[in-house]
Amino acid sequence: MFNFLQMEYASFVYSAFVIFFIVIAICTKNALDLNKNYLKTIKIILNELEAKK
Amino acid sequence: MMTFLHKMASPRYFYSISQKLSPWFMSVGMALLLFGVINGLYFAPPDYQQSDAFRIIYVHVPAAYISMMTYSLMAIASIIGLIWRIKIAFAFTSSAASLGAWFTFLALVTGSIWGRPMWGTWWEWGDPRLTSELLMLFLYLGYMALRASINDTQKADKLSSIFILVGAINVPVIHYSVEWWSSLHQTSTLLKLDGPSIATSMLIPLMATIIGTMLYFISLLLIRVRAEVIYRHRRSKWVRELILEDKNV
Repeated sequence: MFNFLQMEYASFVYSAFVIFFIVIAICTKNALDLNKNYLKTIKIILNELEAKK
Repeated sequence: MMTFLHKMASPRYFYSISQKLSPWFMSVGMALLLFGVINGLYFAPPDYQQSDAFRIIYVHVPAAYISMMTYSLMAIASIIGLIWRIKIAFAFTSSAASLGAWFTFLALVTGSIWGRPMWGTWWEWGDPRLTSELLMLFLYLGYMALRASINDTQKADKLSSIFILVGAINVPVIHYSVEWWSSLHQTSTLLKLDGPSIATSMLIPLMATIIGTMLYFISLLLIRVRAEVIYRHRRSKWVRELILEDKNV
């Protein structure tokens, strides 16, 4: 169907695309982790406050 | 419009609306991105001068646009935060910085990969476009380092916003560098007064990757700003209610 590797400069083209998607994946993971960690921290703070009452 | 902006400035409203919007932005963005990438790689014709190497445009251009767009938006948010003291503007700048830095890194790396077969070099220090874009990466890193070095959030917001505004001079320098000085980098293909100088069969996948990457970026930004907003208001009543009431949070 497609001649994936017969494209001229295939190694340059594909490496650019692979790096692009790796960075997208890193950014997605970072954003989701940040959200998760902040929520976890807030829950701990609130639980401590509740325990003190 | 002003009513909407006023509503968005409310942390609670922003939290709720961004939670609903981010999955939509993410899924539509990814669909458009994949459509553009597949079409750009396998269906767009090769360029008559650059052959298949031109296909790097489909990842390089969205990354470069987002890199500059993010910095510009951070500068606008800094002005809003400093003048009108809208706290969510500072949450926006601090959340956008790392994303902006990653996309600037991406623009530099993909540009370098494109440069090797086309210019015969990975990097050229004397080139104004390349060095001004690298300076932008240092500005993002400098902003993050400055924020991290100040414990007081309010002080960090103010000082880092001033830093962003000083560095904003670099944005027009990047954009016009290829016109003002002699550069290896080609002049603008899309943002031209007489319209884009690119064939429609190449333009459609490019627009799809640009819009798709931007929507995906917005979804990530909304997630980050949401996290920042809830953390900054962690002692507020609405956050307590949200956390205690909603088991999914």
